[in-house]
Amino acid sequence: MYKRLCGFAWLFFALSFLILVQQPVSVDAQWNIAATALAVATAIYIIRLEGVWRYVFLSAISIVVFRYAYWRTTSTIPSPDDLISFIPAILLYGAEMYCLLMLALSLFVVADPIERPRAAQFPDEELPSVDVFVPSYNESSDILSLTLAAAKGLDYPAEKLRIFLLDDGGTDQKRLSSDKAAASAAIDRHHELQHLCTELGVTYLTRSANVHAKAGNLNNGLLHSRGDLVVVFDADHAPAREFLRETVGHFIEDRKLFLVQTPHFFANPDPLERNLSTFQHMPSENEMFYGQIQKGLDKWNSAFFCGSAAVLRRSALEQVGGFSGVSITEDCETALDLHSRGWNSLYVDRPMVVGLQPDTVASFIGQRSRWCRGMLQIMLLKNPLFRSGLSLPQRLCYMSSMMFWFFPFVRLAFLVAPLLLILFDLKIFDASVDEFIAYSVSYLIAGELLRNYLYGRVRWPWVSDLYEYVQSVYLLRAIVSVILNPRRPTFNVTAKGQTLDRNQLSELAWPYFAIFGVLLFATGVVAYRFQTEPEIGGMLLVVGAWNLLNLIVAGAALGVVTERMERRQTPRLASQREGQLFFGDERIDVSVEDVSLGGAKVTVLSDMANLPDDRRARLLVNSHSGRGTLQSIPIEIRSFTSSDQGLVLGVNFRAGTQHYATLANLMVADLDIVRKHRAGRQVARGVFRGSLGFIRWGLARPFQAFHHLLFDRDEPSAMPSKPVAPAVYPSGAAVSSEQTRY
Amino acid sequence: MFYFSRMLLVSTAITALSSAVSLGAAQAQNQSNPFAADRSATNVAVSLNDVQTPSSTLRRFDASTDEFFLSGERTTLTIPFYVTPIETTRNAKFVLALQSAVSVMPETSNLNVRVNGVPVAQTRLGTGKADRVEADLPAGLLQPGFNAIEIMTDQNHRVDCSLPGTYELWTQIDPAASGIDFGLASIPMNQLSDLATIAGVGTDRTRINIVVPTSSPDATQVSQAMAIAQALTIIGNISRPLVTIGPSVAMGPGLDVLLANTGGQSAEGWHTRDEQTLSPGIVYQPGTRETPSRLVLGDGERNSSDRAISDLVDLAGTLKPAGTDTGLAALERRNGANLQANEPVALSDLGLDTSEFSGRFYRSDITFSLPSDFYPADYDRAELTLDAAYAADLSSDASLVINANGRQVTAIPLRSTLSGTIEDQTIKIPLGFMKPGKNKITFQASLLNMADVACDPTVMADLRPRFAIRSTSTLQLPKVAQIGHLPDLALIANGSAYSEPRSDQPLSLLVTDRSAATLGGAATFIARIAQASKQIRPVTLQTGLRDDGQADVLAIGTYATLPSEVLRATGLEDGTAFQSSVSEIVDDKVSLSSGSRLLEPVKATFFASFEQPINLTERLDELRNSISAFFQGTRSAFGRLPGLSSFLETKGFVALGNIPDKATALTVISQAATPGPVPRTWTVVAGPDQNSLSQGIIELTEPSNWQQLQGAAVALAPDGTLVSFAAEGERLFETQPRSVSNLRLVFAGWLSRHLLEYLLGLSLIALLLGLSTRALIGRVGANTK
Repeated sequence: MYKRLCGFAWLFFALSFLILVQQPVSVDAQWNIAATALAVATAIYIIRLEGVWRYVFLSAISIVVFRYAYWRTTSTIPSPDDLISFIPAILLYGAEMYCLLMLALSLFVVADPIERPRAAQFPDEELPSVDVFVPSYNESSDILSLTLAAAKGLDYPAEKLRIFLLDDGGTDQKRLSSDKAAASAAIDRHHELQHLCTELGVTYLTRSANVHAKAGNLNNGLLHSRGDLVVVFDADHAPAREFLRETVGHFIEDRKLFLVQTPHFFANPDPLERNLSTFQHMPSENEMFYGQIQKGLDKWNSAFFCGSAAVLRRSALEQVGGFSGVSITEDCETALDLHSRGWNSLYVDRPMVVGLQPDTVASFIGQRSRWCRGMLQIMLLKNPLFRSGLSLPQRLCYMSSMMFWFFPFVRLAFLVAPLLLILFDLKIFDASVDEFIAYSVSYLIAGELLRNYLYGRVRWPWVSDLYEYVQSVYLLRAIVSVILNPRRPTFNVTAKGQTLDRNQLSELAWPYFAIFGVLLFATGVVAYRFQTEPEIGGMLLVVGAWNLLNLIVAGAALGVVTERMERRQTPRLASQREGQLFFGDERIDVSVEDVSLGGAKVTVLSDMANLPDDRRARLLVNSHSGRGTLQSIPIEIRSFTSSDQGLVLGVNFRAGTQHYATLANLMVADLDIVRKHRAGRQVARGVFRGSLGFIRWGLARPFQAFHHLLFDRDEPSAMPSKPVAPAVYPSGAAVSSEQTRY
Repeated sequence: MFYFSRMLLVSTAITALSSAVSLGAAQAQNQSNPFAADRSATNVAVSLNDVQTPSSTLRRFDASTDEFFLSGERTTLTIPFYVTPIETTRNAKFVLALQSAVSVMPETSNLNVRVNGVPVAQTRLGTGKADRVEADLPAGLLQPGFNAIEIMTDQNHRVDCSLPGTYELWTQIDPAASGIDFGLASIPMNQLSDLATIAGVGTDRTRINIVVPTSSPDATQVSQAMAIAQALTIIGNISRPLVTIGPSVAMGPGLDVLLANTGGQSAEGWHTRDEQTLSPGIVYQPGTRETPSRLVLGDGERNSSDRAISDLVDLAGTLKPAGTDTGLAALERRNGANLQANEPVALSDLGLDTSEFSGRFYRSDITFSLPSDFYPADYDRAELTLDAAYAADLSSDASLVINANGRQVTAIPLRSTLSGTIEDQTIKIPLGFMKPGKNKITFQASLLNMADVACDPTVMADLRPRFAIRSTSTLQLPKVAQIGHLPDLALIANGSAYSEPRSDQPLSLLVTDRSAATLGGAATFIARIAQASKQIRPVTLQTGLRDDGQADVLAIGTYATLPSEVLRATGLEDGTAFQSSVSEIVDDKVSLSSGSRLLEPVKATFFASFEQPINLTERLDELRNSISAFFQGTRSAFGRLPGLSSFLETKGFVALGNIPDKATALTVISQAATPGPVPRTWTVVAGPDQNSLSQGIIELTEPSNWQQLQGAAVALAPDGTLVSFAAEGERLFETQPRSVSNLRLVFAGWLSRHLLEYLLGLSLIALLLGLSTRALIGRVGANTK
């Protein structure tokens, strides 16, 4: 009753608001209105008011946005008499309206992001049985053994936990391949992994043919297992010990729950983070998705499966015939199928896996291209708007996630529009300078305020623009091909763990240079025309500023495609585990600072009398709980350096299979440090400071990029690393849905 | 009279100059130049009077000395000229008497005349002495009805290359010695519409003398005289009527109107001259240049003049002007063309000079007319689509400035090292810049170039074009909001000083005496309104205020004699804090000579209302009263739904609170809207004494002043400046069949005129929306426990 009353009141106020906000008034009046609304919003933003103020903030921003939309629709579209101007004008208008639609959808999604309480804890005998699937295609045994060992070490009753390695690299099809070399490699892999599994106490599964890619592989796992719940970890996603304790309880509480998704956390920077050196202090791209959007989706029972680090209910999966494989993003598709059958999902915002990101621009683009094509496939083949069984909020949420991937078109429109004005004198935006400032500028400010208010902690200003621009250049073609043939895309495995032996340009760099060149040329044309055509001077300033904005983004993107040297094959994870180093009889207290599959960095805590001749030693570390110690690991000291804390040793592990459980424990059992690091990066950077920093990239990076362009003569190449296989299964469709902009 | 015209001219020159200065073009040392121009103009006018001896058969053009003062580098004057059918059969001679300023350079300055688009005469200007242009008009060139006479000048300065120098360029045409000579001693008329020829007779003002039997006519006689004055003004298209009402016939040129109604008068005696019967009971007796013509209404039979008057009134309501296309266009342009919504009109059709311009200061304008119930507010924009071209190397302050009714719309810089074109540039003019009735948009381009700095006499004859607005430029009006709104003197200027658009709605004329001066002033005023509205209103005479709230009241008199109730309601009574919904005092007066910030009142501050010691009980009572009044108002408004006017109804009169400098003003016009669901207008025309008032009415009814009437009150200063005062409040009433589209526009207009209310309303709704969203969101979807 009270809910219905609220609904009616809301409807009434919303209608009144709509009527009142879309009144045509003078430009001066618009200034007053926009200034008032922005002042209110800015005050809330600065004081960081939350709760009910969040909604006051949103409605203040809505005033500016709606007024812009009304004005843009009624006053700025040129006459259709001049088709040459009218057609691009309508396309630009469409792009802007798409942005507004996405804004509305994303506001709906993040209307009230929810924080779930910790899952209820149950005695062991009441817990359901769990099958852990680790699907693999071509990952090395090292990386697999870490993940499998970590999975084996999960805190859960042993009799209720079974681990499966689902090997798609050793299928009959592969082993019997007509390509002799490939066949022999597959046979070797098959045997090696079988052996590994036996040692780790893990079940090895493979199948006859590689049909339906990852979905098919998972379904094969389902066929050969019986657990109540199914957990999926990608090959590079080693889980923390508490993973099941934090998730399984929810399934006991809600019988209709089919999914508990947890965030992915990456140990290495993506190309943008690495090439712009932001990994240490800027929130990662996926943190916006996992930190805000999944929580918002959760509010509407729309949190979806992201391919890994999730728990699913077998009975639910069986109802829809297992994992769906129509699209190349099987994860989201499966969630959509189950949501439309009335099953619930849930999101736990606690990073409990550590994985890898693509290292080069090319593999990054390849990964995004797959997500983009997959999501559009679902939209075209299983459109959530028309699919029965979904609630209205779920339809909106899924549409928001899928329509997001049209952003390359919008980017294109906003890139080309000022060029049409500058180079070809097309009048595609019919507005005076006064109006432009009163409406468009206030709208842009409102947008930036909104973004910063909602996502400031997880996304710095302008960084979204950069990510979108970098992807758009190559995603445009992918979108067109999907629209033309939605069933065609095939599953490409994203390459990870590549190394670069020096700074060099990405092999995909040339279009970015071309675009930058055109924008730079247009900037020159603006300057010239400003001198010679005073009658449109005001408009040229406006368009020139717009073009300059594009130029800065394009300049920063040149920094992204200038790849930085990356020699480390396996990323290091921060740690704070105490332990001892044994040289023969001598024992030294040490603290492990960071650790990777290959080795660790340890600080010497006690005095070290003399350096041993033999660099071989054993490392004994305390367990994560601090009680007792783990099995010791043989090591070899590689380097000595000194720091504020004292002597720092670099050590290499000389670990065998039997040590992987210890290594896994050391690396991922306790991810608190990693989580702290993630939280430490989540500090909002204000619009002003963020913009300044971004402009600095835009100005400085092109010089470095052009330096490489002019002086690097040999072909750039990314080198696949030796120990870590060139490709792993990708980490699901982490769609960073967000409002887009100019 | 003449003195005032000159003073106005000075003020016009100053206005123009100040715009030039504001462009940054004019230098301080040049500011005295316009005064020099004015002195010479005065001298010329005097010398013209000395020199010219016009032919006794010359028929004058209907244009005043002011209109015939052609100032600037290029001017175009188009005059509609009515020719009777008989005249078209005659050989005609075109005559122009003129003199130019000494600064006009003869080598490059000339004057061209076209009649109905056909060139008929050309002369060199700048010879320094009075000149005379004559041309024979071939038979068939003039057609019965209205013909267009176009007079174009190109004038260049001998020595001065500055912008203020262009104000020293002028040619004065003597209206008394210019016209078309048909060789006829009197104007031959044979139909009522031929009365249009009377517009040009006499002096600058067209005098209509209505002869009434007594020096103190009764109410019926006054009503009849008013009907006659209105009908003749409309039929004759008289833009500068001067009506007198009295017992005697007049001397000098003009038209006497006699009523041959009863046997009591020696009506028979009037029928003595060479007369023409225009219509049964309406007889015309031609006069000469020096003696008045006569119009005799009635044939002596009882009530026959009543019938004649009603025939005249009927004709005025139905008459469609005839003439050549160009002649009718000229006539329409003079009245302001009516524009269709959403249809682009070429600026050249609205009177803009679109030929290539080689001077230094381009000045031209367009005029058009908006409906009298047009609601001026910024809910939409008129779109001016501009195609133009300019030469290379203009100086840094070269620009095109566009003003709408005296307010600057935009300034487009034209400085470039290259020549340039402006193609299809859209300039949006907010409808708040417009007003009901005649609107004027001026285009001024200052076009100095580097050579003008040196001002080398050998290159001054360089007449390469510097600027042109192309004839493809257009103006397009959107659909405008139409609703009656009071007070607004622009309605008077447009002829709608009435709450009801229907023409049978009477007007109560409140005068305190029936002297010839008072009645003549009133009749002149009313006739001028009729000329603008093309409608005749019945006038009922009142000598005291009988307010039944049913009629519009026009009160004319001195402050001493007018009823204090009327003065109080219109804000003209001294020292009265007059009660109305409007508490703001307009103290931000801006004279027309400085142009732009008209109608922007400064409101009394919130705190000012607490200057008086606070009586708490009183304040609480006020609060309670206003709250109960609000609820009562809301309830009654809902009770009367649908009814927009009641929604906006307020108690008391809506008018200006107080006019600050009325004591020094020659004449003040002030308007109030009466309370009630259908508001009426109370319009007061008042002066400190009878002489000032009479003079003030004559000045105010001059076309140039008349068009500037707007706001709730206008004060005419003795130096000829007009100051407008805006009322913050307004009363709306419906004039159109109710439609969603119009109401929507009116609503938007109301909001943009009441920005504070809009802002508060919008903020409140946004706040409520935010709160209700919060409440709703908390009740739907998943929630954390």
